[in-house]
Amino acid sequence: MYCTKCNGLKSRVALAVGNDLSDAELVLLEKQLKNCNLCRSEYEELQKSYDALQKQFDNVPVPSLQDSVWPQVSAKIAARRRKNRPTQFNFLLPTLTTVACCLALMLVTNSPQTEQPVFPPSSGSYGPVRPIGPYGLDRVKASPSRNSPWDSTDRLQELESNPYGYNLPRLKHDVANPSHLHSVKF
Amino acid sequence: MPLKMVDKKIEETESIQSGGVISDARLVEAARKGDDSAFGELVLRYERRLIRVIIQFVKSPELAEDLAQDTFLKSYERLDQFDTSRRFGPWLFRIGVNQALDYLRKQKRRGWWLLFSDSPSDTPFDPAVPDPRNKLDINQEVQAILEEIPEKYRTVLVLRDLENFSTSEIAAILDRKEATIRWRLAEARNRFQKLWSNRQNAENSMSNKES
Repeated sequence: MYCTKCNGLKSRVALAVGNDLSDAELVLLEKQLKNCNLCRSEYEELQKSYDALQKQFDNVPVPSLQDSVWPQVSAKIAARRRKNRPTQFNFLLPTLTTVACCLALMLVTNSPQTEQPVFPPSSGSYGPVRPIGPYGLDRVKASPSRNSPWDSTDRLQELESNPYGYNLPRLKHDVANPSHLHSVKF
Repeated sequence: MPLKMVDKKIEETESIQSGGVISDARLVEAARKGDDSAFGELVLRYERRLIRVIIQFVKSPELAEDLAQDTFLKSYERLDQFDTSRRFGPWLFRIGVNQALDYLRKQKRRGWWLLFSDSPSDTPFDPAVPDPRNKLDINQEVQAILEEIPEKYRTVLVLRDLENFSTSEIAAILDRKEATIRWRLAEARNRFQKLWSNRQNAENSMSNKES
């Protein structure tokens, strides 16, 4: 334990045992320790522990020059270099990837559009779907309306001859060959 | 009263600064350009000292050699980051000391994991003598005390008192100011002395009881 007067010497004494003070600092410390037995005994204790530490230093095995680590290190360096070395076409890989992406993008954006059915512009309001069957036809006949597309007589006739309600291709018999009833011209 | 100062033989650094031999900076430049033999020259210059330093941390020559190899490999990969206006040695030792400290931290974490895991340890504690402390020699005593000192003090103590690096070199290795290193060194020596005295007193009291 350092005396209260010399308490600030603690770190300087610790540095002095390892010769880590400048000459001027050392001279000053010597003067201070000369007058204080307590601090001098602290210095001697520190010196003992420092000597023990130095004995440890002397016992550390020194690696021999023959056992150089360079062969192993150079082998590892060569192995890493081989691992990271580009193959013959590796340098083209980024370029090819970019080109492929661009082509894919162009194909997607410039693909031919599928033809959408073009509906004629409607001339009037859409009417309800006409009911199919004799009941529906009767109702149409009973309550005619001039604005309805179903009103004309032709249309009604057509509907009566075509009770299914959808357009069928008009069949025409082959005039040149009347016996062949199945020959149909569209 | 003249103070008894330790006349320390400062080990010559294996790095040759100048004078007829290619400097470290030139070898680094050559290694950067792909000259492996230049890097090999650097390895030969520093390997013994590096292994010695790492041994001080990990206590096993074989392990120290492995860590030294890793250190050289890492330094080779990071040669582009090295500033050739500075010294190569401290930069290399910084990587080496960090490798050793990382290894010790991993071991410590693994130790905690084994402590709390159910798997039995590979080497069960079965001392041949009732009190193994009696069998410890001075080196083991010193090692045991060093392990009790916190890492930031222990590192400085090992580099200065066991490996004879100067405080300015340690400051470069640990990337701290020299004043910080000097303060840590003084603190480390005081802590070591306290623990050392406690052990010596305990041993003395035990031997007194036995007699």
